[in-house]
Amino acid sequence: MNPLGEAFRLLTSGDLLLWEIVLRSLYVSGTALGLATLIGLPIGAAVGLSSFRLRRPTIAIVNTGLALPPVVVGLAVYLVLSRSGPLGPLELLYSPGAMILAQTVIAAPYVAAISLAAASELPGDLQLQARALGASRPEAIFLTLREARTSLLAAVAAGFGAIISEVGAVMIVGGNILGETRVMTTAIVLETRRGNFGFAIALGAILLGMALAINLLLVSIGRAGLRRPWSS
Amino acid sequence: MIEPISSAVARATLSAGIISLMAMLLAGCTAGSDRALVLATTTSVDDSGLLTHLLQSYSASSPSTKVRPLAVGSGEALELGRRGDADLLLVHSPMAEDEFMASGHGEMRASIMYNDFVVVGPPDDPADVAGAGTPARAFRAVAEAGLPFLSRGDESGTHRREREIWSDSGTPRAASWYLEAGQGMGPLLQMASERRAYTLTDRATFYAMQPRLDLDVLYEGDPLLRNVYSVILVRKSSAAPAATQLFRWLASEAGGEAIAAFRDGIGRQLFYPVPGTQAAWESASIPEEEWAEQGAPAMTGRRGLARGTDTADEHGLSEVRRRFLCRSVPPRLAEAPCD
Repeated sequence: MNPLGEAFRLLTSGDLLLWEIVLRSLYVSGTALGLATLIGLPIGAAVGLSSFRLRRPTIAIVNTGLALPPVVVGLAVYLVLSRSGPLGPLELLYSPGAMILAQTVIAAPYVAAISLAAASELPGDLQLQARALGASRPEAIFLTLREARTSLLAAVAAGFGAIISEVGAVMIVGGNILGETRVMTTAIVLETRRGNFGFAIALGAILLGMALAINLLLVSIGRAGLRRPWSS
Repeated sequence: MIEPISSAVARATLSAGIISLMAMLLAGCTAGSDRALVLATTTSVDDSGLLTHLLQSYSASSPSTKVRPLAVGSGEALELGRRGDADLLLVHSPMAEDEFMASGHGEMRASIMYNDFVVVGPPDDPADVAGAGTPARAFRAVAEAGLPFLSRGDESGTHRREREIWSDSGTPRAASWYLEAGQGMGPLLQMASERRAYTLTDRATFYAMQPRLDLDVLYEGDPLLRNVYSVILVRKSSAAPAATQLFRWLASEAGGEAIAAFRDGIGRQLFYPVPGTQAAWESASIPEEEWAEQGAPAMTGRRGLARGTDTADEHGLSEVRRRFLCRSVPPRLAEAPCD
């Protein structure tokens, strides 16, 4: 059977092994994205909305995080979780937990940098106006950020795109163990090596489909963003 | 907003420059008439340092040949050969090699060297595989203790041998302790060390990585654990003259001497040449019976092993496998079931 036909058969027949891998990818990257948002969004919003002396160096550091190569993150997480590393006793290495940790470190700078940029673009007097109309300080921050909600969603989507397609870090800290830590990207590497192209193509198609969905989301967010009242 | 004209021009010039540079680079890659010959080897040959040593020795005798070595598992190497993406294969997966030759993908094959597989695990050996007696019993001990066992899971020669031993042991493998990681031998040993797991490894890779591992050799020395490496000339090779030359050298006295001369960092010999290989290579165009008459010492016939006719003897070894194991290498490592 040719690989394309095999890929089509796998995609349409509800192959358990295939969908189990897809679900694990979504679980690992989804959890990592949730954690990255919890860390990155407040940092981005705080730096973006405030002004302090070291603001510029801070922005530079956050943006450098975007350039972190995933394999280097994988290496660092490996060394930390290894039996001889500081967190060795947790026995997290080669588990989904280790993969989530690595992907959180990769995604957090994306969420932080893009939400930082979004928050900086907001008019500076928006908060002031809200305060003047009687909002408390937390309320004012919340109202201001709500104005940037489309950009913030874009930040989260960009973070997801960065980790769902990432292979270096999850291979190093997850180990590509069948039924435990094998995700779409590591499975594609293995099945290509085995000459099992049908399976690899099927996973590749799903990954591409996800990338397309994310980009469609980003494009529609961008269009919604154009209708922001102050950007005339 | 209107872009300043100068920057627009600069950008257009830059991108045109980049595109033409890429085009030139790509043209340079394909236009070279003396395409480097691709040698696909198993990871053990590379991880141990033998590959570098062999290629250095070879380039001393034939400096003009460019060899591009690819270190992959045996399964992947054979797949590369099947597609014609590699010219020469150095692999250790006898059954898969038989299939490869039988389906006409290989021009010639020769067994050039051997070493052995060992069962490694945590130094305190909680499953007590050291006293198991046979590899199958060693594996069964791990299974019965429910301790983690790491499998390559990548169709490599080591993976295939491991599965043969598991099927000999008749033990069902459960996902709770049998972990299939799709990784090369080096990363797998690293994982076994971290997880205190048992695994089957070739001795060469284990020795190369031992200083960084918390693992010991726990079971060794059974004939079922012998590990024979063959070199195969791929039929679809697009660098056939150079590949044939390297094939002949690897299977020659000179190649054998280079293999025997190789030592690891602390002076241990890791690979043993198969004596008399130069007379023993097998061609897909010569009928199997002729080889049998000539008493070819190296391998089984080109048609591969007829699995249906296999019967197991009292050692749990099928007759065909026993004959292969006992004949393919000098019986130095094979006291037990060989005559």
